[in-house]
Amino acid sequence: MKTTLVVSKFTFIEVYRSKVMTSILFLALGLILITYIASEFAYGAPAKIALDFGLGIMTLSSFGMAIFIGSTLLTKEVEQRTLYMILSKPISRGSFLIGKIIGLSSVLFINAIVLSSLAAGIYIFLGGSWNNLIFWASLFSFFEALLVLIIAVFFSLITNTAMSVIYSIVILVIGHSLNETAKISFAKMNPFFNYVVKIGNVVLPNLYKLNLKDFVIYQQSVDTVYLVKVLVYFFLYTTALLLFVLQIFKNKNLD
Amino acid sequence: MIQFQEISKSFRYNFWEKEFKALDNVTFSINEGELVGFLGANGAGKTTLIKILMDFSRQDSGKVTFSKKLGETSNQIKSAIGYLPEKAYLYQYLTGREFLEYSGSLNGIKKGELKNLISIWSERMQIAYALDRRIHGYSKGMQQRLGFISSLIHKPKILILDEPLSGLDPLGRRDFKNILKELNNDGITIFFSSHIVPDVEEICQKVIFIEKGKLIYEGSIDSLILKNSNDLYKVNYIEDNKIISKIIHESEKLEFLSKLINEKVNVLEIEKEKPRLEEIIYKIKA
Ligand SMILES: Nc1ncnc2c1ncn2[C@@H]1O[C@H](COP(=O)(O)OP(=O)(O)O)[C@@H](O)[C@H]1O
Ligand SMILES: [Mg+2]
Repeated sequence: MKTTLVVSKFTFIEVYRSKVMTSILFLALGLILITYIASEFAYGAPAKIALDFGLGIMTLSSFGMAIFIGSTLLTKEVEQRTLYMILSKPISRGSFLIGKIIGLSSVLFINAIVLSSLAAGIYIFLGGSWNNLIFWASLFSFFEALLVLIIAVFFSLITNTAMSVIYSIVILVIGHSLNETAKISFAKMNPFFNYVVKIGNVVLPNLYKLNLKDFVIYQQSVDTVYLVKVLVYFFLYTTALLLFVLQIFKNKNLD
Repeated sequence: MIQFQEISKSFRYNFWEKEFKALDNVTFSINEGELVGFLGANGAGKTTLIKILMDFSRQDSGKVTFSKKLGETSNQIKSAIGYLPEKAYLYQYLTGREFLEYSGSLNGIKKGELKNLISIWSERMQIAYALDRRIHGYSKGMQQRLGFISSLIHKPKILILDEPLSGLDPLGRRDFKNILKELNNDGITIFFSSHIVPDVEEICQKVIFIEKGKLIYEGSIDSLILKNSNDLYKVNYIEDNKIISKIIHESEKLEFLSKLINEKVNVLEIEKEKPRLEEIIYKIKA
């Protein structure tokens, strides 16, 4: 446990000084610019448009970072031989990987905080009023990115970096559309397809549920029971996936 | 301390190609207190074997056994080992000090003591001046020095070093060799790989030599040299104000020397002709 925290501490320092942080800064600037332009051109409700854009950019950039960081996490360590150095110390492979993931997810966390605060700031500046849902949507978006990070790590363990990026994007897209697919009448009518979708719903992450943006923009409220359900789902799914990933890493040939 | 028993490992590049045997039935052992050179040309399989020893990659067959002295659990054994991988690039955005704090705290060294050890060893390895710079700006040799400190800062019982001398300038090589000898005199067992024969010959008593994944020789360097020497002696003496060098066979040695002594010739030196380890190893290979 202590060694896990040591790994996350130094992983954080390392990533904090790397280019990833600079890119968050650029994203923030870009976000201000784009939301400003978008709200200028919008008819009607510029504040809402600004929030929509802002949260959207935050979510997309978090995904991008999660996939990039997750897919390169281990290959980079193997290339630089740092993985060997750390694993030669009295630390288990599992503790190392968890420490890495915690350390790296801090970047996602900072990204989520910085960009969503900016988005909310612009929204309020343009006349919108604060809604706790903005906080929940940002938090859930961070959770989603965390899950995507672990998915990317998973694929990088069983394929190479490039394929891991591609597969992660595919899962991301499917994860967002699965919920809707199940509702299409064709899926309901066709028993085989229905079956496939059901299996997909169990195995693949239902990322659609983690996306609270539409609630923020259109409904302004969400059921607490719904939030809790989604949270429980997220924790169960993430834990199961993480345990699976740890098992693979434990048995992996690192040559 | 560590025993390798019939270790084999193959790599397969494409599934339609034949497997490539990187290690073929390698058996030898490292005993307590030894300073062992692990020799082999590039691609001989040294790094592959060390990765198996460290449990990074898995052998196809065979077994690595650690003596009880190193510990029982995996973490105890790891605490007793200091390891340096080949061509380590370390964490480029950390400073040298942070990197040593990182590895030291994984080894469970207390803060105050760690600080002390870092300053002692960085002085010793002549890297103290750069400790607070980012590793990004370090040269290959500086990274090698830093990595070396990280491998021994927790006072391991055995050091496993993969090509520790590569990437160093001549002075650095001498430093490293001296430190290896010192550590070994202090009782630390050392196993290091190298593809440079004279380096091994200079500091080791024992050599493990592999070639294309096969063990060729395991044992003392001296006995290998004596076994391969050819009973010739070189005699240097002065005649007509010139130094004459003559090679004679063991059988004529006494006769020749008594002749020189009878004639009151000034004999400077007599030495058995010993081949260099390098020559022997080329011969074994051929
Ligand atoms: N991960 C790997 N995948 C495929 N082949 C490898 C791998 N690692 C090493 N090899 C091959 O195994 C042989 C031995 O390599 P290595 O152990 O690195 O040699 P050395 O360290 O003695 O220079 C080489 O031919 C190398 O190409
Ligand atoms: Mg090597």
